[in-house]
Amino acid sequence: MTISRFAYRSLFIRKIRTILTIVGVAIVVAVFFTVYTFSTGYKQALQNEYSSFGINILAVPKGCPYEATSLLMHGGKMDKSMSFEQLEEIQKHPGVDIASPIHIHHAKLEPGNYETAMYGIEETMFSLKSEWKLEGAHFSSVDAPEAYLGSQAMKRLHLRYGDTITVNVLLGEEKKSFQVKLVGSLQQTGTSDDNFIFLPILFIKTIVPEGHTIKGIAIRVKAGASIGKVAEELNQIADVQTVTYKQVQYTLNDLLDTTVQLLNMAMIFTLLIGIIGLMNTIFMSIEDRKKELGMLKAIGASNQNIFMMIMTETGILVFIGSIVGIVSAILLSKTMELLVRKLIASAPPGQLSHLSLPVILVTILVSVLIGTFVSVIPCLKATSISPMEVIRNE
Amino acid sequence: MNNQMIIKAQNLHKSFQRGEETVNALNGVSVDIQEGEFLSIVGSSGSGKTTFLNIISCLDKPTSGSLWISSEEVSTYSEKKLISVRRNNFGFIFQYFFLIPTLTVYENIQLPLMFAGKKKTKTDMMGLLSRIGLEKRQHHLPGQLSGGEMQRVAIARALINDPKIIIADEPTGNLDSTNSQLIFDLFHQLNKELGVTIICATHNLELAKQSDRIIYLKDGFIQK
Repeated sequence: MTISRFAYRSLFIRKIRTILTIVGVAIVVAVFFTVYTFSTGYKQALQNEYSSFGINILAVPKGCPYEATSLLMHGGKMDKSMSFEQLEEIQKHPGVDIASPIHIHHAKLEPGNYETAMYGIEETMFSLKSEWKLEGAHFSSVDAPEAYLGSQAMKRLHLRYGDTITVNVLLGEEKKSFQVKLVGSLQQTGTSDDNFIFLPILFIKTIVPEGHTIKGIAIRVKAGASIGKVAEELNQIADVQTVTYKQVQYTLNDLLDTTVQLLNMAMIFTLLIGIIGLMNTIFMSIEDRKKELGMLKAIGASNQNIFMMIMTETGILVFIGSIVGIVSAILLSKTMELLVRKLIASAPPGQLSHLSLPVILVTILVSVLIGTFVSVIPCLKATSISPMEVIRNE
Repeated sequence: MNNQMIIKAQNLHKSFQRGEETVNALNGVSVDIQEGEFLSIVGSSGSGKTTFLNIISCLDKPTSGSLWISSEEVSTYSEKKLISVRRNNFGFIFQYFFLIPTLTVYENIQLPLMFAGKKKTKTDMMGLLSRIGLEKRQHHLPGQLSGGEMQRVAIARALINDPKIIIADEPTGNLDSTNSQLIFDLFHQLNKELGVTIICATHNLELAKQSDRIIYLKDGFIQK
C-alpha cells in the first residue's frame, strides 16, 4: 500500500461526489479545449483558404471590399456589379498579368434539386487558382453552354460527363431555366469551390442582362510589379475598388483575434467558476472526513502524509476530469463544427478544430497543475485537523 | 505485568473555553501505569475520560502538569516529536472502528505500516489475522463484516506496529454484550501473551471489573 494507491481507493468512498467533481472538471476542460482548438483551427483554415487563393488583388464593385471578397469566396449574393469595359480597363493596366472576371449567382440544379452558387468564369482562372485541377474536358468555347462541377457537387449529383444539367436562376422577379452540358469537374480543393458549379462567363452574359455580369475580378500582377501600387492605380477606375490578399488576411485575422479575445474572457470566467467549485468540493470533502483524517493522524499519519494524500486525490480527479473533458470535446467537435458553420455562413472550409497531441498533453498538464495549486489551501486545512477529532465522544 | 512504569502522569490539568465559559476537564490527575497492566477508566459522560486518554496518548497537551512515557518527559514535546512518540508507543482503538470502507481487512490493518514506512512479512500479517480470528476474511471489505469483526480488525490495526500501549476509547460502545465480551477476552489474551499495556475507557462496569485495575473519573478528578 502506498499513499497514492490509498488516495485513489479513497475516491471510491463517496462515489457520487467523485463523479460530480470529475464531471465539473470535465466541463471546464471541455470548454477550454473546444475554444482553444476552434480558435486556432479556424485561423488555420482561414489561412489555408487565402493561401490557396493564388490571387494578388481582387477588384470588386465600390462598397465594402471585405464583404464582397467574402461573398465571392463563399458564393454569397451580391447586388452591385462591374462591366466588361471596366474589366478591359483593368486588363490594359501595364502591371496586370491576368485579370479574370467572376460572376456569381444563386442557382438550383436539376436533377438533384441542388442549391448552390453558379460561378461565371474564364479559363484564365485556372492560372490564378493553382489548386484547381480539372478532370474531363475544358469548355469547348468561351461562351459554350457547358459546366464544371466542384468535387462535392459532383459527388452529390451523381452525374457523368456529357450529362445535361438544368440550371434554375431568379433574375429579378423572373425565373429562368437553361441547360448546360457537364464537361468536367474540379478535383477536391478543400475550399468552398468544391460545392459550386462553374460556367463560361460569356455564356452567362447571354442569359443575365448586360451590365450586371461581373461581380469581381481576380487579378495577378506581373512579376516585379508592386501589388500595392497596382491596387492603388486600379482604384482610380470609376466604381472599382481593390483589395489585396494581404489586406483581406489582416482584416479577417483582426476580426478573428477580437472574437478569440472575447472567448478568452469567457474562458477565464469559466476557469474561475471551475476553480471555486473545485476548492469548495475539496473543503467540503475535508469537513466530511474530519474523523477519518483524525483517525489517520492518530494511527501515525504525519501532516505531510495527509497533505500528499489530499493532493494526490485532487490530482487524480483533475487528471480523469481532463481526459473525460478532452474526449468529450473531441467527440463533440463535429457537432460544434456544424453549429459554427450554421452560425457563420462564411466559415472557411476544411477542419475547423485544430486537434493535436501536444495541445492535448498541454491541456492535461495545465489542468493538473491548476488543480494541484487549487488544492494547496484545502490540503493545509486538512493537515491542521487534530487527531483528537476521532476520540471526541464526550 | 512487570513493575516498570510505562506512563506517569503528574498533576495533569486541562481546561478549555466553551463560549465564555472555562471548562476544567481535568483537575490535577496523577496516575502511574505499569508496563503490561490492563487498566480500565470508568466514568460518566463529561467525567474527563476522553481528555485523559487524549493527553496520556500524546494526542493533546495538558494545560499544566507532567507526563512521562517510558521514562521520557513528553509534556513539552513539539507536535512532530509527539507523532513519533505516538507511532512508537501507541496503538488506538475507537468506538466507531473507523475502518476505510474501500480497503480490505488486510489493507486496513496495513495502514499504520504505510505511514511509519515499515513493512511486515506475509507470515507476520497472517499470524496477526489468525490471532484476531479473521484469517479467512482478509480480502473482505469492512461492509461485509459484523460489528464485532470490524472491531477485531481495528484491534489488529492497532497492533500492527507492535505498540507497547493500546489506547481503547469505548471499544465496546457499539457492540452487543456477546461481542463486547469477545473483545475484552481478546484484550486479555493480548495483554497476557504479548505483554501489551491496555488502557481502556468504558461505561461498562461489568467489563471494567475484568481488568487489573479501575480508575474512576468524575468531574475531572480521580475518585478513590
